[in-house]
Amino acid sequence: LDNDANQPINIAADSLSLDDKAGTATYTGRVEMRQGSMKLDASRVDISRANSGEISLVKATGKRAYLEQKPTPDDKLVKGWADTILYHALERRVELVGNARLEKGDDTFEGGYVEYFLDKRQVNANNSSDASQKSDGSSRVHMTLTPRGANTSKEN
Amino acid sequence: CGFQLRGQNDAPMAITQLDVKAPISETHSALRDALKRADISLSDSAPLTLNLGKVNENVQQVTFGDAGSIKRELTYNIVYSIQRKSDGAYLANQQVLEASSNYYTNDDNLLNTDDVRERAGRQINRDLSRQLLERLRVITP
Amino acid sequence: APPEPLSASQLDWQPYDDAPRGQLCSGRYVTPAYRIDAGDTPEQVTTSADKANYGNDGAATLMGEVVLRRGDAQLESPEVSVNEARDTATAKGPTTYRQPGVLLRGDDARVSLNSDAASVDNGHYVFHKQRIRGDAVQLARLEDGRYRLKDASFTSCEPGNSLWRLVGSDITIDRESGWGEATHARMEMGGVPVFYWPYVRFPVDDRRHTGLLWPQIGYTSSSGFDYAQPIYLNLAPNYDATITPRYISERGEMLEGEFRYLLPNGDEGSLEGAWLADDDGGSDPDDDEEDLIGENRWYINYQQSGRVNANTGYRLKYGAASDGNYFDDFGRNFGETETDSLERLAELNYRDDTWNLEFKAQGYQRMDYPLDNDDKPFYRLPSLTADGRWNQSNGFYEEWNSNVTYFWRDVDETDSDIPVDEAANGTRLRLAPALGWRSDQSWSFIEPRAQLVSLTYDLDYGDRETDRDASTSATIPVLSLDSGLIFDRETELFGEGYKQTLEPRLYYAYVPEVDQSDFPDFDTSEDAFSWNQLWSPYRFSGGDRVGDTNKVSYGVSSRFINDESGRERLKLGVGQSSYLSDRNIDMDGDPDKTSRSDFDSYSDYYRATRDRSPVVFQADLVLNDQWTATQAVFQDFDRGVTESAQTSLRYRGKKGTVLNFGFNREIEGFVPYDDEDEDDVLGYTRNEWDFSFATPVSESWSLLGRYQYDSTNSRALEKVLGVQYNDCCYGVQVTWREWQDDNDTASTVSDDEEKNGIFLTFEFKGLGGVGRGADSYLEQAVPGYRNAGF
Repeated sequence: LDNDANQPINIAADSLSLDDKAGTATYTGRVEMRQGSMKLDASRVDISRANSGEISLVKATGKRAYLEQKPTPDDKLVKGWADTILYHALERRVELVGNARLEKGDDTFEGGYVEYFLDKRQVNANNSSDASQKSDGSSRVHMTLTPRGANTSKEN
Repeated sequence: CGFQLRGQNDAPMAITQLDVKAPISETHSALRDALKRADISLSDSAPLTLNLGKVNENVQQVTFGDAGSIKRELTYNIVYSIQRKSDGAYLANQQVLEASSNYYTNDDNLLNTDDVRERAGRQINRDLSRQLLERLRVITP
Repeated sequence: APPEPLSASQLDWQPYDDAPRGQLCSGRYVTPAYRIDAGDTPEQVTTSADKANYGNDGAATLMGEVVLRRGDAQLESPEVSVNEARDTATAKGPTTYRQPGVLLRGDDARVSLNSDAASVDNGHYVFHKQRIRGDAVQLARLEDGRYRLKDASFTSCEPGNSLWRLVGSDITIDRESGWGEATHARMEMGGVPVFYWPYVRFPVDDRRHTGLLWPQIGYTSSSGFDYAQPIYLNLAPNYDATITPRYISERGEMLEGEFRYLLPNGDEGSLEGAWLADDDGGSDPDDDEEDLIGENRWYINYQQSGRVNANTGYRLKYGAASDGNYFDDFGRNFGETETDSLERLAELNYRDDTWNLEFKAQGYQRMDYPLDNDDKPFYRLPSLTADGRWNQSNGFYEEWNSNVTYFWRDVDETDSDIPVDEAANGTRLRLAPALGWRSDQSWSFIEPRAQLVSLTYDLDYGDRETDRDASTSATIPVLSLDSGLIFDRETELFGEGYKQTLEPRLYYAYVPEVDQSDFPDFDTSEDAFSWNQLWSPYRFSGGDRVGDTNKVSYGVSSRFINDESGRERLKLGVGQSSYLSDRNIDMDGDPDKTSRSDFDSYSDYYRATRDRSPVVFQADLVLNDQWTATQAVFQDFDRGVTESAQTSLRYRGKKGTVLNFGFNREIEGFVPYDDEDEDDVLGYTRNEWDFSFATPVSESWSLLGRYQYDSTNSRALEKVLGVQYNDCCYGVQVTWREWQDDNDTASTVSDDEEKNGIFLTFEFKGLGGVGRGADSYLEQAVPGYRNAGF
């Protein structure tokens, strides 16, 4: 939701290790992070803070880390899976890297790399972060769309 | 030389009743009469169905030229099949009866053509009837 | 400008490495598999690309080898963008769009995402199943599944073979109904325009056999160059028409038309006709054809038939032509030139197991020119027939045969050419009840039969002086006794078990001599001798004469019947009649006609006074499914002469090979002739040989031919040679024919003319349509030949 950004963040995990000097925290083992409507589950989450103390980057990795967020009260949940999920809190931008999949409304994205702007709800996907893996079919981007007016839930 | 009066030693016709499905024509009436004369009763409840197709007529000119008397060969061709109602098995499937007869026509006497062709047709019907009975004689329902 | 040609492989064309049997084309179109899976629901669109981005408003852009799939449709393009409304995907060229059995390859494309519509600019298309391809400036698939192609071409030739193509400003193809339509269409052969249509409709698959009938080009010695271009208009499922503009170099332009219809209740009918204004006369008009020059030549032929109910059917016909030579001059294929009369008929017929009732009004226009007064046929205005038969269970049967007919024709009865027995119009009442008893056993049959033929006439001789009575009648009994025994025995033939029958038959017929010299001749002629006449009391066909007869016929036949199938493999027969008294009634009907001087010819006299009929030998052999043979010989041992003989040998091969051999002999005078037209009396003994064949020579070539030879006058009667070449996308049939035209005279061959003609029919495959060309004639000329289509 729009006011997710200023909601408190709480994280549950099996273990936590802090590195004050670098300003980073690493949670490992069934990590569950909540911030308003946003949910992030992963096996390992590394949080780094900007000098201002605010969280700048949340890096979640796992046997496909999972992200969930409600863009607007009446929209369906946006769900994302990837080997590594990078949440750039300040930019409100999420990067799903490696075996990525994003479900937004009735559309789905699959591919090597998917980038999702939380507020602008803009999605970019390409076959991989670097161009070298382009030829291998598996890393292609697959997007399924459901033409409006065709599905049952009529927007207007 | 081994000839005996037919029917003395072999069994009589095994088929005794038939459900005949056929269009209406002089040929099909002749075939029905022949079956009745051979003591085959025609009834809808008979165990065997005889499906008679329509008569395919073909006229072939035998003599050359179109003056004077022209000899023509009329041929009738009928496809038939015999089906057992109980299990739908075909005892005879898409078999053909065919017979021909010659007749003469003459441009000077166009009205004569109908009668001459009809008489050739009746002769063919007699042949087709005989052929059909011979085919039925060998069938055991 | 039309798009650049594509390579065969880009059109899904896969050449055969070794073509399977019967395949004329060097390869086939193969649809490749889909590149991605379809969505879960038919509406869902699945895509695959190197990059994809997607704005909040719903618009999406995909780049890098994009594949988009919606249900059965698949689009491939380097870049595709989906609009906000999510109802259209726009793709940049080069694009490939596929539907089941269809390929469109072109530049930019637009695909609807909530319907099946799509369109591709400037590209090529292929319909795999119909084996059709072409290009177009704009290729659109409409929502209802039809394809509309703008400035398009259409051919069924293999990629790389540009033998023919149809080019049109707007071509629409509807695979559902199997029809294509084109406007401003022109046919190009090898790039050269051959023909133009403002609008043309053609079948795009072989469901409809007659389609756009292709040009028939011919040359005949009498009419010169002859080009006919039939145009087939399929107006509705149950009626269609063919309009045929035709140009004949020696005669002028003419228009032919044929209209066929099928009524809802299943009755069917057709109306055909043709019109030529002021005929130029042909290349060598002989004297009596001179006055046809400058005339309008036309013909019309209407017919309809159907059933009123299960037992009642009707037939309607009306044929007329401007003159008797119409079909000789304008018969488009050889079959049509043989038309010798046009029938006019109104017939209603009822039949059930007992009765056969018929009303008939009938007449003819005879195709002879000039038509002499005495050659004009009679009309039946009308004829009422009532025939009934009752079979009693004890073997007795009764027959009621009755007919009343008013015969009329419009001639000057005082013309001395007209014999007096054909000078009158009048009514004939013919009643012929019969009583008989037939007993059929497996080993015998016997049938005594008695019939009473009563003929009553009411005639009007008009101004013709004659001492004949205007009303006359006679009652003539016809008695006959038919009997036969049937023996059989088990035997073997060609290694299979057969029942051989031996069937002696004895027949007696007696008809007294009754004066019929005052009777007219409306529809009667004396029958030629035949096997059937041995066992029949009648010597005349038609209704105006009952011939006196006192004869005994005897014969024996033997049949070989297969034990398993019951089919007759071989049938032999021999028979003869002994005449116990002379036959005095002939067409003149005068019982006192007994001495040689009373007869016009020796053969008539001999026929009336001979003591025995010729001996008839008959054999019919069905050797196997391919070969059948028949042989009949009528031998007069008293004069030591073969009066008539007929041989026929037929081969029907599995691969469509057909072979016929025939010989027909008929001694002069064998067929009795009516005395009024000497031209029609056979003036020599007929010995005619007839050989015909049709056979595929290779996958593409097939050959057919006929050769008829008259060994009495040692001349070839008819030579036909037809060559048919079949290719993947076209077929051409060339038929050459040379024949003797007997000029409507059988008495002499001196006035016979040799005529020849060549006939060319095209067939562009994929456009359906087997030309009406020479086929109907060839199927008559070569028995067993069926044009299996190109």
